[in-house]
Amino acid sequence: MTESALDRPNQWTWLSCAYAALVVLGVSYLLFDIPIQVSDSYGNLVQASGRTLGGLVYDQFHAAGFLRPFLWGHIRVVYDLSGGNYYAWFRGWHVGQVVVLTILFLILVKPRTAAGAAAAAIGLAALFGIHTFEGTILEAFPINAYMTILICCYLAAALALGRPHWWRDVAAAVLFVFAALSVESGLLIAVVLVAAYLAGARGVSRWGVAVIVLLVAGYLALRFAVLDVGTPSIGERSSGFGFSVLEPNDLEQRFGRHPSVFYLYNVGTSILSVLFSEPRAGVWGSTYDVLYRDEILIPPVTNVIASLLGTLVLVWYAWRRRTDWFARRFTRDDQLVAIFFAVTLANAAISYTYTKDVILSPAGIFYATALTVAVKALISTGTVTASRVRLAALTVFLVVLSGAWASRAIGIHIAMRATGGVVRNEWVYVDDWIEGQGLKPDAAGLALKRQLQADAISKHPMRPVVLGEWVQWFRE
Amino acid sequence: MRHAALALPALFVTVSLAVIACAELLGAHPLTMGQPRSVPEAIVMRDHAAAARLIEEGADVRAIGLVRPGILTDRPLLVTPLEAAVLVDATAMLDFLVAKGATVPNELACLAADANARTARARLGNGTCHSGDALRSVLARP
Repeated sequence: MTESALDRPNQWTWLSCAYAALVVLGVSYLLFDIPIQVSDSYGNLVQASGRTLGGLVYDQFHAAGFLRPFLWGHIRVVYDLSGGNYYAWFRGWHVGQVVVLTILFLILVKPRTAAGAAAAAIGLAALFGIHTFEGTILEAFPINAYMTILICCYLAAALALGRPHWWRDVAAAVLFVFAALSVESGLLIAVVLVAAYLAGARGVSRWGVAVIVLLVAGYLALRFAVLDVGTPSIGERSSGFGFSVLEPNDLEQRFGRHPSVFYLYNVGTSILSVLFSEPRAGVWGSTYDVLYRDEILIPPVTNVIASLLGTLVLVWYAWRRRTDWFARRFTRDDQLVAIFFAVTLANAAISYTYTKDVILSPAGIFYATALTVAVKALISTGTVTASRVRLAALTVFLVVLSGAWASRAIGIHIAMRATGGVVRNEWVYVDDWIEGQGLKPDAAGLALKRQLQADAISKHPMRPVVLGEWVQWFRE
Repeated sequence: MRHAALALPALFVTVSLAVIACAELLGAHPLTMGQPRSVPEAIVMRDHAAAARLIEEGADVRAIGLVRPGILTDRPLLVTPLEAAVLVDATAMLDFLVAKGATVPNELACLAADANARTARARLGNGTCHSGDALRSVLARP
């Protein structure tokens, strides 16, 4: 096929779209079933509804530790749009975000051949099955800010990898401002755009990228010099280290004088987590199980196998393309892999004070796109190989890779189902939670509580619990 | 064709999930026991929201209910909501039931001890009974 023919959607594209629609339907079916949660959602809704949109955003510019005004604005806008139908709007919004993310995934990986379509199926399993993605669909606050950033990241990549046009520069700048002022990891939009530019993508021009760099400088100046928002300190939250989670006091005691050791640990383990699914949030849980427990659980082993094989394919791809890369010749697929490497490093770097799976979700989604293009290349290589033994070995390898990622995708579906139950149960005991938090909601807050409670318990009953020993094969 | 084989595991998962979702929407319940049919059953299925809903709809918090075989044990069980909460060591539900009007019998502490329900035992204290009697009497219900 010629280059221009490969650029146009064909039957493989539509087949991939149909398959992706089926995947999204399955995810959405369970995602819509998870009610608005009590912790991090009810309190946020009360707070968001108590001020005008302008006042809410203004206040957030002066919050300590975090600079997330647009996240609060986002919550308030959906709250107002809902007209009191909170369940449908907030849960529907979350489903809509998953739909948009999936469409952007397909736009980026562009399946145009049989190999591309097969790789896209594996890539979609990786997109939803990777551990870093869990926090973007199992939780909402009630808007999942991390999911918003994932969409912004994919949008930034789509802008950068498209045909050059002035409006892409403008869109990239607007996207960066929105993302950076929604959650701190929105800064990764700049990394996506710069990495894409360095890898030869010219959708966003040199001037557009320069503006983004200036905006990053402006953000840092605003945050640290003007607003003095700062960053969360080392002893603010418990954090994983080694085989366990250390409480803030322990962290302060062990690393208070030499925080750089802790910071390096977080950066290093974050990179390993994206590439190998171990450690998770700084904790070497699966390693501990293998070393010290008699019983080895299947799901963490499957996770590590899937990531290990996937990372091997990425390493193979990088090795195979090294000559062209050194000569600064990049294909579109190369650019996606380059973005993945850059985002992983930057994502790990911004996790220096605190690492957890969901913070690494931008690296996780680019892992899925990079894996898709690398698997496509591997399948294509297999098509031209002469040796039957090599072909058989390659096929077995790819089937195991595909099976491991499919298993992880089952795990996330089971988790979504279980989360629906957990959240509903929280609503049964919401009064205890409110008392425990020391909250004193006013009449409007109490009315909101009653409505959300009725939504979770009476109006949208939980789907029946999945029973059986087999559940443990896919989910701890 | 070989390409389809490579995507087969992911394809299998996706199609299976779609079939399960469609079946559930049509009223079937593959891979599950369906909705809980009594307050005790909801409690042992850890579906506290369903228990709360059934009570809200008028179910008696003191009434003995059936827990179908395969949910907690291989045989059917006849237990009160409080006993169900003790058997799965759900102390928050225990408090909820008491707040809804259930009265705690003396034997419940013994059942907590027999079922090795640690948090329920801590809440209910130590009963004065022979070890195993309370659990045996629950299991012996016709």
